[in-house]
Amino acid sequence: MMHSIAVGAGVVLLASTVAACDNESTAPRAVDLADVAAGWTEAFTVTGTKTEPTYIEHVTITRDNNVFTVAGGAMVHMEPSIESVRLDDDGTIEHVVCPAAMDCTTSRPLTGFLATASVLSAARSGRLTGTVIPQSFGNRTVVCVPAEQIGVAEPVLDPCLDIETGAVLAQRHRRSGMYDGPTFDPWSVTVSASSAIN
Amino acid sequence: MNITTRRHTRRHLLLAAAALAGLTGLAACSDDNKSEPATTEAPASSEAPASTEAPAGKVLKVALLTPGLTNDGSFNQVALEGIQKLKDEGLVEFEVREKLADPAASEPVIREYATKGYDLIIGHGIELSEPILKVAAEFPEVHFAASGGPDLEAKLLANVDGWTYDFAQQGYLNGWVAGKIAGVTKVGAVGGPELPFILAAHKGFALGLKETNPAATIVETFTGSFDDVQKAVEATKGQVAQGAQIVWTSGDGIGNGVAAAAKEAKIFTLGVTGDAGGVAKEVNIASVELDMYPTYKAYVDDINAGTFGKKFFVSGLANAGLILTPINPVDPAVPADIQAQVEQLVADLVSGAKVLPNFYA
Repeated sequence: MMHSIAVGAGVVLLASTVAACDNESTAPRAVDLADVAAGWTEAFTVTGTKTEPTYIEHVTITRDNNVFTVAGGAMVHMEPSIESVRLDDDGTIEHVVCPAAMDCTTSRPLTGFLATASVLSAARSGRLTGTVIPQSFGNRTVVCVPAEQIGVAEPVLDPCLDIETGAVLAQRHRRSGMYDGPTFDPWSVTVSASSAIN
Repeated sequence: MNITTRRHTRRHLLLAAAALAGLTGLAACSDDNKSEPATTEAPASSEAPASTEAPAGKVLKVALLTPGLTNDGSFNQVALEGIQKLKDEGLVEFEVREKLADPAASEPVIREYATKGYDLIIGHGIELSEPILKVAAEFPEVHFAASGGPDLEAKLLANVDGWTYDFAQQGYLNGWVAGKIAGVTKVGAVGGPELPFILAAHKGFALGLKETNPAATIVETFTGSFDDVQKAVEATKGQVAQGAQIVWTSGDGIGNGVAAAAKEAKIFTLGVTGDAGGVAKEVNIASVELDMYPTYKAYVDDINAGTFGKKFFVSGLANAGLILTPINPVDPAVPADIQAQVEQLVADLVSGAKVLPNFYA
C-alpha cells in the first residue's frame, strides 16, 4: 500500500494564499490555479522518504529559478537516479540531466516530481486555468492539478503541489481519489523555500 | 494496530558466507525526530543490562526501532509483523519506537533501551545502523541487530548481528512464476531507472522465466524514471503492441502506470505493489515481499543458545525472507498449485539442489 490517504480527511491547514474562511464554515475555498502558481517561490528544496514494500528511498527535489531537479529511486546508501530540466520563459522544457535509458528528446509532458515545471510551463503559456480546492497533505497544503492541464491525455495520477512553493509532494489517483504512486511519506516531508543548488 | 496476515514459512536463515556485492540495504532519511512508543508490550525497567546468555524458555524483551510508521503496509510494517509473531509464540515481549530515521534522535533511544535491561534491540533500516553500532560498543552484554548494505558485515561486533536482503531475487521469483502461466510466449518487463539493483532484478527475472518457460521471450523497457507514471503507461502499451501477454514491473512508483495500461489492454501483471487506485486487484497476480520473521526468530534462537553475535543475515528465497504474496486469482492460466510449486523451489534452494547465481555480477 503506497500511503493512501483519504483526500480531504482531517483538518485542512490553510496556507496564507488560500482564501480565508468565513464565520459559518471551515471548508477551504477554491483557489485559482494561475494565481497560486504566480505566487510560488523561485527556489525550494524538498526532502523526504517514499516507502516501498522492501525498502525506503530518500527523495530530494529542488527548484533553482528555472531549473528543476529530482534525485531518488534508490536506497539511501546507493547512487540515486537524477533528472533535471530547465524551463524557458516561453514555457519550453528541456532536459539538463537525462537519466540513462530515458528518451529526453520527446516533448511529452513531465509528470511525477518534476511536474512543477510542466505546471509552470502551462502557466507561462496561458494554459493553466480553473480553480481547485486545496487539500491537506501531512502538515502541508497542496493543490492537485488536473493532469490534462499539463498535456497528459489519459492521466492515471494528478500531481499535487505544495501551495506555497509549487513542489510536488504527492500524486492523487484518478480512480480512487487517494494519494498514491510517487508520493512522499507525509510525515517525512521537509520543505525549504530555498535551493540546494548554487 | 492493524496487522495484515502474511504467510510465514518457518525456516532458519542460512548464514551468509560472504557479502554479495550489490546487495540491497535498507534506509530512511528524515528530520522528523519525534518518537513515541507505539506499542507498550513490555514495561519500562531500570534493571541492569541483560545478560548475554538468556536462559532457555525466557521471554526476551525486545525493542524494535523503525525509521517510519509500522502501519504503512510496507517496509516498516513487515518488521512489526515479524516481532508480533514471536510474541504470539510466547518468545518475546516487545516495544516499538517509530520515526527514528534521524540518528540524532535514535541514539538516545537506543541507549535508553540498552540501560533498561532489554535483551535485544533491533534497528530496522540503514539509518539506524551507525547509532546501533555506536551504542552497542558501550553495552557489550546487550544484543543488537542492525540493517544495512553489504558493507555492514565488516562492521559487526561480538554483540551485533546484521541483516540485508537480496533484492534481485524478487525479479527471479516473478520471472519463475511468469513462466509457469499457461500459454505465455512473450512477457513484458518494465523498469524505472537503470540503477544497478534494478538491473540485477531484471537479470533475475530473465533467468526465472528461462528456467520455467525456455521458449518465452522478453520485451524489456526501462523508462529511466522512478516517478513518471505516464512513461510506464506508454512503455506497457508499447509492450502490449509487441505481443506481451503479461507484464512484470520491477516496481517503485511506476506500478500504477503498468497496472492502468494492463487493465486497458485486458492483460495481467506481476510485481505491482499497493492497490494502484484499486486496479491492482483486477490485474495483478502476485508480487514479492519481505518477511522479517525468519530473521528475528534466528536472533532469538541464537540469544537463547548463546551463539548470537557477528552474524550477517541475507534475506532471500531460500530462507523465506522474501516470499510470494498470496496469488490473486484473476488469471485462470495461473496453475492452481503455483504456491506448492514455489514451496518446492524454496525446498530445492534450501537443500542445495538448486543454487541461484549472484545477479549483481
